[in-house]
Amino acid sequence: MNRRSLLRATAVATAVMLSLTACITSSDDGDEPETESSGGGDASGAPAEITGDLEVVSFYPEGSPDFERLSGLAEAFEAQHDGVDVTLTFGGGQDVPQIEARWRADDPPDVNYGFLDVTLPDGGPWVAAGDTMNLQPAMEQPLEGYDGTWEEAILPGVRPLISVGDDIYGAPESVTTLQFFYNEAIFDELGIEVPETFDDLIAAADTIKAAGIAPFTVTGTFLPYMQVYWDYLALRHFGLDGLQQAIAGEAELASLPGAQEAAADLEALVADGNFLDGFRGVDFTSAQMSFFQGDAAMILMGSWLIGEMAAAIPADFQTGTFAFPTVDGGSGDQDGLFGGTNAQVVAAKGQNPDAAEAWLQFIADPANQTAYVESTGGISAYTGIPAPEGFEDVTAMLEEGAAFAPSYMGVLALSQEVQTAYQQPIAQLFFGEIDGATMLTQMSEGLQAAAG
Amino acid sequence: MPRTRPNLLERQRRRLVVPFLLPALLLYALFMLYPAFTTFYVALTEWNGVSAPEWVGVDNFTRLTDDSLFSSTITNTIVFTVLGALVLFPGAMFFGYVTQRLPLGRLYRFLILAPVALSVTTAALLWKFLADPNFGAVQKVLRAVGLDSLASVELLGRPNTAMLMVVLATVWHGIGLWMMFFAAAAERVPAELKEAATLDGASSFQVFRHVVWPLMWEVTRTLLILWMIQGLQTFAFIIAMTNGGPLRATEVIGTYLYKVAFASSEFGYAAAIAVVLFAAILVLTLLSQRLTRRESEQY
Repeated sequence: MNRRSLLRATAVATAVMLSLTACITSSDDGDEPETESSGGGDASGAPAEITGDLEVVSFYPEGSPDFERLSGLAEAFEAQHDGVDVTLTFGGGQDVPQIEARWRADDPPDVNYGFLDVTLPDGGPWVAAGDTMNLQPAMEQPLEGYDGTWEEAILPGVRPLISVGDDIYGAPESVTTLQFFYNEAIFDELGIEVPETFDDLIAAADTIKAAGIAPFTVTGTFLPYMQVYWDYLALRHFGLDGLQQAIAGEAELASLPGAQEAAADLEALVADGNFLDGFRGVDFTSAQMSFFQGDAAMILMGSWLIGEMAAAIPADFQTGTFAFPTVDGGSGDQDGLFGGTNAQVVAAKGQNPDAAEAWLQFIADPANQTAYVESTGGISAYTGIPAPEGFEDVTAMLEEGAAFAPSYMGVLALSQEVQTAYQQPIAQLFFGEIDGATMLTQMSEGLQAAAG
Repeated sequence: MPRTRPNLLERQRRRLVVPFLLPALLLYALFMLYPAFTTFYVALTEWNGVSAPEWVGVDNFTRLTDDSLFSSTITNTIVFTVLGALVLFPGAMFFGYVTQRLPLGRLYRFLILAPVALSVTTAALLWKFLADPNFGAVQKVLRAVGLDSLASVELLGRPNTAMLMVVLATVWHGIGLWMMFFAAAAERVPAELKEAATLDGASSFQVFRHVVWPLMWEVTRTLLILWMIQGLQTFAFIIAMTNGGPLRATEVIGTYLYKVAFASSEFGYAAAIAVVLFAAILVLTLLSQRLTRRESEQY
């Protein structure tokens, strides 16, 4: 190649790279998203004429009962707002990164899940960057179907789960809690009362086991569901604050008063075949199936269980629920409940934020909330909506303003080091590889090391 | 010998090539070079995927040296690659050679190739349900034939069997393609050579070992390198079947990288892992090429 050709090739290559760089770096410099609402609806709550496309993320894959329910809601919304075309986009499970990639590319769906982390003072990176829309102005306006404002319509105990400081960034679609589900027929047949204390729970497990039935089922392939047992025992024995400090590496877990007792209780619970044979190798669907087929009498699971498994639950199956039992002598929270809310947020850079806001209000409509509770057995986050059977206490608790402890202690969003330090020893105890004391030591040392 | 300057016609011909290559080069630069260079840049930053990346130099690479989780993923990745090669290559070679000699060879090849048409996720979930201790077919069959003790083993729930199951599923899914490569290589071996060996009294195995195999070496070598690259990048079967468990026994570099990036939002650190993986693949590929080089058999 002569010098002239070399120069020419270099110039072409440089031009190409500069063009590419320009294409890719110019996307977020002052490009305002186009809003398709023609009526200029704003956060002041003034009625807006909503038109245009609206993209809503669905947690549920196409073909699932929940997706069908959401499709029905989308059609009803379109009928109510002539000129709006709703598209549902699956964004659950492994598809979450795809939705996040669209947010980064300034092409987010209008209505989303996630993108709000109320455990962080700034609400997480998306809120801090202004990408998640602040709904507070709209929340201060009256909401149709309720007495008072949108904010007042939300159960007091749910509000902290969607708030950053004094502002609300998400609208709750539903409430989720973690508690025991039990097979009423097995309990009745064996004359077992609903356990109120941890000793009751162990006694019930012994009775069930003697009858040739596994007391509990759990998945061994998804660690958070084993973790919940420890979370509850820690909550009861020494409380949320201590556990949060230990996870943050600010306190030594093993030296917290009550930690040894919590570990001993977990060891007692997982010992002697209390869990269904083979639980180490089953995923959560299989674990849930074995509960509804009567192979195990109890499962510690989220309130979404009934809705999620509706198609597989035998018609004559009677499900009961009870809160994780209290522990004798525990200095922690004996009534605390792990839970959260499925909050929907509006992308500030979405194409149609007005329609998105209208969608959130539509979901909150008392008729839609009641239909949701009746069809899925889920719990509503709004006032005046009857609780599903077995969850009356939860709703009452949230009405009184009591707060949830965060599901899975929020570790799923933390670094891999912290997740491993916290979850692996629990799994090892469940798998019979270590005892409770060793689990506690490993967790304690691992969390300290992860915190540097 | 001194290079001679191309004549005018040759130079014009070369210029003519440029506009035809340009669209492909542009696409290559956009979708290959730009992401690759960006990955190198991101690896030198701390970035949560939302706010502006913060330059940290080689900190992410230093952190990798102290990361015991990363070390264990390297071990697991090597175990997957070696175990996979040990199952895949003899199997693919066997099927490729044997189906060539059987009367219904094409039909058998079609049947062995069929799983390739399934998506990876479908194949992985299929195996996951087959191995389910409560409802899976594997356990039911084992119980039906009286092997109750084996049936009680949670194949995907134990560290010592989970990796083997993932390898089996991966090999089952892809072996058809590798079999076709070997079959094509075996078909290229002249029939006279095999006949001559047979006439000299060589058994079928000896014909394969001393005649067919040496002539297939170049293909085998290339396929070994391809498998090594595939093995080091393995991701989909593991994320769908075990998600890296139990007890991280199947956590490989690909799944760890994914979790660091998309679960923990540490994109800078994940990019550093990607750079190391890229370098490892490059070095190992060059090394393998050098170590497996033999003088080609001519025929």
